[in-house]
Amino acid sequence: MTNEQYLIVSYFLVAVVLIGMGFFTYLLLRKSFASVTEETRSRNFARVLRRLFPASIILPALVGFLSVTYHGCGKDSYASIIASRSFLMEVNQRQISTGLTWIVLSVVVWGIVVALVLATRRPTAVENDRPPKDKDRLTTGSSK
Amino acid sequence: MISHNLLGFSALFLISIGIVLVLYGLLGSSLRNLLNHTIRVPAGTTFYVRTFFICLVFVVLSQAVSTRFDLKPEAHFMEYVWRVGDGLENVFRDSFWILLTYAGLLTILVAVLKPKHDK
Repeated sequence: MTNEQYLIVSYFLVAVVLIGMGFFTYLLLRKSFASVTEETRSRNFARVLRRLFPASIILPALVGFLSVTYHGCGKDSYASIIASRSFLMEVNQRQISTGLTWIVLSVVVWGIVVALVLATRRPTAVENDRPPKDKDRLTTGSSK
Repeated sequence: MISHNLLGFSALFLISIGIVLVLYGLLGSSLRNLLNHTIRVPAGTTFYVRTFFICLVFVVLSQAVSTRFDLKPEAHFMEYVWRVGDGLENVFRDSFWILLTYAGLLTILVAVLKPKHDK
């Protein structure tokens, strides 16, 4: 395989791998995330969150992939880029590394969003029907 | 014949995955218990346990993959060991940041949700 063929194949293969990893992350978290969003006070907000979730996991993977450039470090022409197979492999490594880092960052941000949803969730029927504490019973009890 | 660079990368990759499994093994069940008691939403517990695992795995893989193994064939054994060490330094550093981030997130969850559930 020539360096140019390797460049073309590896570029699209790495992109597919990163999209796949983003999609895998989404599949792993999809159901639990959907259940958590049911706890929000607004149904519309829950729907928006659920629709945002897959895009905001997969797009960062692509952002990380596309942010790594083949140009730079003295390699400004196409010929100099495809001259070295090791350079092409090094760029692929950087693409995967950066894509994975971006996925992690987006997962951390969604973790914060879920924390806010849980902190502001509507109380459940069980929590509403909780019996009063002893202190309350004493203050509301009848006088002798 | 497998190149020594590939062997070095494989060693770094396997050690990195081992680190993830050890960390997850040490912290997984305690994390799940804490989340069960704090969040009281089973889906929330599942979400956070899985994100913890995903963040650890991806951060570790990210650093392991970004380590360059471009040593010449006549390189000595210790040069490969040093290169693996360089990769592990990045793996440990980013794992530390993930653990710190999760510690902060859990602290906030406990601080906000525990008083709410205790009322």
